[in-house]
Formats: sequence, structure tokens, C-alpha cells
Amino acid sequence: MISAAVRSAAAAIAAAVVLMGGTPAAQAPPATPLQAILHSLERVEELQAAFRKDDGQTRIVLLLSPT
Amino acid sequence: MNGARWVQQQILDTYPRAALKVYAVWYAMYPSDARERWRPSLLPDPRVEHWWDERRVVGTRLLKELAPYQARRAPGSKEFREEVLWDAYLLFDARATWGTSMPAPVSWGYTILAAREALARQVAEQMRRQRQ
Repeated sequence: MISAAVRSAAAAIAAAVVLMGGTPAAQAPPATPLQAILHSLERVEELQAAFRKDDGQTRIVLLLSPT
Repeated sequence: MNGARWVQQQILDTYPRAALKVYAVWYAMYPSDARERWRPSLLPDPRVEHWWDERRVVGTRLLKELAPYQARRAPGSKEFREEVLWDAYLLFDARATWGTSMPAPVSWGYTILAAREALARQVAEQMRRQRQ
């Protein structure tokens, strides 16, 4: 059974949230996409290790130039 | 560059939840190329790992490793006569394991755009197999 004190506290919190403009979730900053990282590669074995780590997945190696 | 954008839009965006991993290995092939010119916005998908290969070791090594797999060159792919493979893709299925040498690719293609229809078709086939 919820006590009167707990109900009172919950009501106070809800009122405070409304006064602040919404729910705590609504106050959270918008999510930003993760920024990709450009790792340095010195040896083919580094690519090989990444490839092995992802065994069981379809994998594509792309060989690209930036311009 | 256009190949990278095509892979993002036509492969990764088409299969947003697929067990699909992409290793994007970048290096300078034109005088204007430099690490600082890399644009993460071309391939922003979190399933992509980006690498900068200053000495172009991957393009040199994989070209040699592909020698036994000329028959797996994708339809539409161009002849390649340079010493460093680039603007190219290599597709591997989920069973491929990289031991002492590179595993057999399902297919490979140069340029990415020239071989894109085969790449799209073969990725679709891999995705069907994942669902089975």
C-alpha cells in the first residue's frame, strides 16, 4: 500500500517537472551520431585482426582515396 | 569517393540491422589526396571501420592476394593494371576466415561503381542466407 507521504512526494515531483517544462527525458539533449574515427594502419595484419574479430558476419573491404 | 557514398546509400542504408561489416581503407592516390581530406560523412554508418594507410600496404598486398581469384572479378568490373589496388571492393561471406593468406572473396570489383550491380546483387544474396 502506498503511503500518503509517498503519494505527496510523487505529486510534488510531478508538479516540479511540469513547472520545468516537461519530463526529465524531454530535457535531455538530443542524441548526436557517433563521430567516425580514422585509425592509422601500418600493417596488413591490423586489417586481418579486425577481419577475424568479425568472423561470422558478411564483410566488405573497400579500398578508397579521399578525393 | 562516389563509390563510398554508393556503398553507404545502397548497401548499408538498405540493410540497417544486418550483420554486415565494412573496412574502409583510405590512402592517397591523387596528388590532392591527404589524410586531412578524409570525410567521415561519406560513410557514417557505425558498422564501418575507417583506416588510413599511409604506405598503401593494403592495396599492394591485396592485389597480390587476389591473383588466384581473377575468376571472381565482378561482371562490369574494369581491367586493373596498376601496382596498388584502389577504388575497389572485396566481398567476403560470413564463413570466410583469414589465416595465413586472405580468404577467397565472394567477388571483388574495380571500380566500385563499375561493379556496383554485382556487389548489390551478391550482398542481397548474403543477406538472404543470413535470414535462413
